[in-house]
Amino acid sequence: MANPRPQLSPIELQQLRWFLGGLIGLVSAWSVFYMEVDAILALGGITLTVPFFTLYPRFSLAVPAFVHRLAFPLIVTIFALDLWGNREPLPAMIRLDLMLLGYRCCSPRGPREDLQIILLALFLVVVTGVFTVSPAFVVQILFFTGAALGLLFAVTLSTSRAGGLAAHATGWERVRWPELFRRLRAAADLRVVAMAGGLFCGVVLLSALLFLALPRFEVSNDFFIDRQLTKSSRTGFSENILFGEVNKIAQDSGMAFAVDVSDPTAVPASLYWRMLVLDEYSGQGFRASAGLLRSFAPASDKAVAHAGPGRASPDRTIWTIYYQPGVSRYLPLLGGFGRLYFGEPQALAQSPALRIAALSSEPAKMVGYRVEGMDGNGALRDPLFARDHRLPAWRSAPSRMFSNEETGPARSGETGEEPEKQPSFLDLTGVAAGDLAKLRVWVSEIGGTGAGGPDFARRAGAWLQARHPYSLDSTTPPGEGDVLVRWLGSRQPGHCELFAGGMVLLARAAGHPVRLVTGFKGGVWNPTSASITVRNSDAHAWCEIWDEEKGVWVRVDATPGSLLTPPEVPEVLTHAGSRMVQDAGWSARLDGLRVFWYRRIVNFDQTAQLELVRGTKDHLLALVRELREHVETGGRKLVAWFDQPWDFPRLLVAAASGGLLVAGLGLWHRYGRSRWLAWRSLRLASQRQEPVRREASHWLLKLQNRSAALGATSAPGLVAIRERLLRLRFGSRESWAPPLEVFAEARRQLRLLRPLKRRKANRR
Amino acid sequence: MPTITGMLLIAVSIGIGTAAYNTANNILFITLSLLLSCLILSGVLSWLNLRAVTWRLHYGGLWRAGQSQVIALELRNNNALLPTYGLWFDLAAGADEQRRYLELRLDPGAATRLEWSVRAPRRGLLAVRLRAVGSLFPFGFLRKSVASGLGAEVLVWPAVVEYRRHEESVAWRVVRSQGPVNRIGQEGDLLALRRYAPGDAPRTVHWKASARLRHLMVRQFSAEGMEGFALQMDTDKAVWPRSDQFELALSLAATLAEDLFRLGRLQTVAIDGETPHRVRRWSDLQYFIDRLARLETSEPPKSAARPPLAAASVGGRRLLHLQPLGPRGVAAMLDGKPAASA
Repeated sequence: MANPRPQLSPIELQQLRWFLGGLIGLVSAWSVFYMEVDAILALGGITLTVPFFTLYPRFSLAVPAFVHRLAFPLIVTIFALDLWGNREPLPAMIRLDLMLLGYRCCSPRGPREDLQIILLALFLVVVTGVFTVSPAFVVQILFFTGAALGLLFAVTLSTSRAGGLAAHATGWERVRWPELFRRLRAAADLRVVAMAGGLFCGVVLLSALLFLALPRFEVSNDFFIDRQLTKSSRTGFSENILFGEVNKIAQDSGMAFAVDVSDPTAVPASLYWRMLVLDEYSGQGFRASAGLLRSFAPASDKAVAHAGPGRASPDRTIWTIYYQPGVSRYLPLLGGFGRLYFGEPQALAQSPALRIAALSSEPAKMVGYRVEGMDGNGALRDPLFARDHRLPAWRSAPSRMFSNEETGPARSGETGEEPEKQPSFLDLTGVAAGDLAKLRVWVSEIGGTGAGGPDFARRAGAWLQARHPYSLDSTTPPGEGDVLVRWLGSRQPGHCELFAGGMVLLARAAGHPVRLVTGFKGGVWNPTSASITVRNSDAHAWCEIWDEEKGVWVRVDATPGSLLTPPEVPEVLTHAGSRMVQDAGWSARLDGLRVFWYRRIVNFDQTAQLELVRGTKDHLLALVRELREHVETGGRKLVAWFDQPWDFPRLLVAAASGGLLVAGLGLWHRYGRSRWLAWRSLRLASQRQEPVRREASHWLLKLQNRSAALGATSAPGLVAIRERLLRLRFGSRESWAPPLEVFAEARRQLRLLRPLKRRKANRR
Repeated sequence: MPTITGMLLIAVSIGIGTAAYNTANNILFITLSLLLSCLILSGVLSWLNLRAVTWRLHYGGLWRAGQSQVIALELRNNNALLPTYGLWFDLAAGADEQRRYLELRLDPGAATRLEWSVRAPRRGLLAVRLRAVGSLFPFGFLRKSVASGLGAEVLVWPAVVEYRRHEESVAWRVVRSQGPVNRIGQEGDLLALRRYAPGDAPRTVHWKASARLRHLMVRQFSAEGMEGFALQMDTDKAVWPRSDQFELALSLAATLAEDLFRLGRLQTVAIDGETPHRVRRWSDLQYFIDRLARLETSEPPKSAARPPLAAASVGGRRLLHLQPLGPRGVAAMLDGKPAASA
C-alpha cells in the first residue's frame, strides 16, 4: 500500500536540520543578553552571521577549508587569552561557548555537529536560568527542549535514510525555504502533530512530577557558577546616595520584590521597607559614616538560618520575600526580626542597632528569604543609644557616642586609644555657618524645640508640607550655599529625598538625633498571586527621629501624602487585599506568575517536598476515610432496612431491585459484553491476543465438548457454525462474518442441544 | 542500549543532577527533570513505534547451492494512528548477516516489503533467521533491538553443474532417433489409469474417470517406461574418497535427474542399494533431490563389496550410476560407458 502523504527526502531532512540547528543556536545565544557578561562582540557576531548562514546555507560551503582547520585552534587561543587576561572562568567559558556555537551554526554539519550544537546551547540556557532565576527560563528551556527533540528526530530519520551512515546529502545548500515548509506541512499528519503536541505536554507534566518527586537532600558546596560572576548594583541603594538617586529608582516600574504573607490581616497599614540608614550629610546627599558602617557585625558564615538582632516581635506572621537581583545587597525589612531563613546558604552581615541586614555581595539572581517575628510598627527600640544619649559626654561630643551590641562599644574614655569616629545623628558640620543660621531661624519659626523629637517632627513636617508641594520632577533653586538649605528656603516642589533631607537638617538644628532611611514604601496587592508586589517606583526616603522619652527611633515621613509619624493607637487591621491598592492588568498577572514561580518552583525545597507529601498523604487518607464512612453508612442502612419487618411495599422494592440486577446482568451478557468485545477487538486488532479470536476459541471448545458428549457432531447446524467459528478463530479479518451474530448463533445451537441432553439423562 | 547521544544525555543528566544536589538549585532540578522525561519519552515512543508492526518472512522458492535467492519481509503497520519510522532488520543466513533499513515512513495501516538477496554457499540445511528488529527512533538516545525469533531452516539443493553428454552413448541416440516427444510411453496398449502428474500431456487425461473421481486421471500405456532411465547414486566412501568429488557427483546427479525428468525419461531413482523409487511426479523428484541435499558419504560395507547393479535389477530400465572420473571428475555410467560427465 503506497503512502498517501509525501515523505521528506534526505536533502529536505538535511535542510530542516540546518534550520533547527541555527534556530537553537540563535535563541540560546540570545539568552546571554539577560546576564551581565561582557560578550557583546560574540553576541553581535552570532546575531549577524547565524541568521545569514541559516537562510543562505550555500555561503557556508563557500568558506575555504583552511578556515575550518584554523577555527578551533583560534577559538581555543582566544579563550586562553580571555581567561588569562580577565581571570574570570565563567564569563570566559560563556564567551567560548558563544564562539563555538556561532562557528558550528555557520559551518556545514553532520549529526555529530548537530549534537554539539544541542550541548552548547543547553549549557547557555541552563547557565542563564541559574543566573537569572527568571520565569522566562521556563519558556527558554521548553523551547529548547522542543527544538532539540525536533532536531534529534530529524537526525534519526536522516541516519536511517542514509543506511546507518552519517552521510551528507549533496545539493542540500540550494534551499528554498517556502517550498521546504510547504513540503513539511504536506508531509505532516495532523493527527501525528496533535499527538506530538500531546506527548510534549506529557513530557512537561512528567517533568513537573519528577521535579516534585526527586528526593531532595543538600550537599552544599561553595563553588558554584552564580558566584563566579561579579556584578554591580544597577540602582542607587548604596551607602552613598546623592539627591535624586532614589527618585531615579522610582522612575522604574519593574518589580523590586514580592512578599508572601502568611497572615494577610497582620500586614501593617503603612509598609516601610527599610534597607539603609544614612547619617552623614555631605551637602550633595547622605551617606553612611564610617562609624555607622562599623555598627555592622562581620558577615556570618554561610547558613540558611540567621538569628535576628535582640528581642524580636512576638508576631507569628511569616513574611517570605522574593528579592529581585540588581536592587541592592541590603535586604528590605520592616524592622527587627526573630529569625531569617534563606533558600540557599548565605553570609549575612547585620547591624543590630540599625536593624538592617545585608548580604556579602549584591545577589546576581533572585534571593528568597523568610522572615519570622518581624516588627513593623515604625518604632525601633535602642536601649544602648538611650543610655549613651543621656550621658553628658554625648552632649559635648555626640558623634563619639554609639553602641554596638555585637562588636562592643568603643566608648570615649574607656580606652586610652584614639576614639574611633562614631555615627553622627546630630552632625551638621557639612553645613556652612550662614546656612546653619537660616536653619535655626526656621526651627524657631516651627517652634517646639523643647518638645520631644516626634513632636518636633510633626511640626516640622507640617511646616515643610505647607511650604513645598510634592513633585517627582523637582528642582532646587540656583544660588550660593547648601543645596538643601536653598530648597528649604524656597517654595519649590520636592520629592521624598528633599523632604526627608530637609527634616534631618531641621531636626538636627533643633538638637534632635535623626537619621535618614532609604528603602521602599507600600506596595500593591496582587490578587492573582495573593501577594504584595513592591516595585522600584515605590522607592522612598524618610527619617527616623529619636524619641528620648520612650527610648525609640520613631519613623517620620515628611513627604506630602504620608502619615508624618506612626499612629499612637494601634490600628484595627483587616485583610491586606481589601486595604491595599489592587494591582490589576496583564502586568499584575505576569507578576503573579513570577511570584508563583518563586513560591512553588524556585523556593521548593526539602521542607516543601515533605509538606507536599504530607499534604498528599493526608488528602488521600481523608478520601479513604470518607469513602469507608460512606460504605459503612450504606452497609448499616442496608442492614437496618433488611432488619425491619417485611411488608408488601418493601417486598416489592426488594423484588424490583433483584429484578433490575438480574436484568442488568442479562443485558450486559446479551449486548454489553459483545459490544465490549467488539470495541476491544478493534483496539487490539494488531495483536495475536485478539478478543474475538479468543471468544471464538471459547465457543468452539464449548460446542465441541457438548456435541461430542451427546454424539451430535454431524448436525448440519453445528457443522455450519463450527466453520464460521473456525473462520473467526483462524481466518483473516476480511473473511469474518459479523462476530456478534456468529456468537449468537453458537449460543442458539448450544441451546438446541439441551433436549438431547435431557433425553440422554432420562435414558440413564 | 544507549547510543552515543544517549550516553551524552545520561552524562549530562548525571552532571546536572550532581550540580542540583550540590547546590539545591531548582533550576537545575527542572533541567534534570526535563532530561529524564525526555529519556522516558524516548523509551515510550520507541515502544509505540514497534508495538503495532507485524512482519512475515518469505523464504523464497527453491534454494540451490551457489545461486542467489530472495528472502522477503512483509511489513505491516497495524497502528490506527501512528506511522512507523526508522526500523532496521538484521537477517542472518548461515554465516552471512545483512541489515535492511525501513527508509520510508510506514503510515498507519500501510504495508511494505523488504528484500534480501542471499547466496547459499553449499547444499544442505541453511538456517535463515530474522535475528533482530531494531530502531533508533525517535531521538537516537536508545538503540532498541528486539529478537524476532522468526526463522527457519531451508534446504539447499546441490548446485546445478554443466555436464557433457557423450553423444556416442546409446542413451541420447535413442531419444534423438525418436524425435521430439512430450512424454515417453504414450504408445502401445492401455495398461491402467493413474493420477495426473506435472508434465503429463493433456491429451492423456481420462476425462470421464477424472469427473468420477474428482481429480485428474491419465491413461498409462504399455510403452511408458520402456526408454526410461534408472538413476542410482552410491555414497560409499571407498568410491568417493574425495569430498569435492562427492559434491560434484551429487550436483551431477541432481542436474541429470532434473533434466531427465523434464525429458520424461527418468523412471526410478535410488541411493545405494535401496529399492528404486518410481518418479512419476515433481514431488517424487523433489523428494529425491532433497535426499541428495542431505546426503553424506557412508562407510563401505564390512562384508563383500556391493555388487554392481545390473540393468535387470531395475526392471530392465537403463541404469545410470555415477562414478569418479579421474581425480576430480564424475561420470554417469550407462552400461559401463560414460553417458555424461562433469
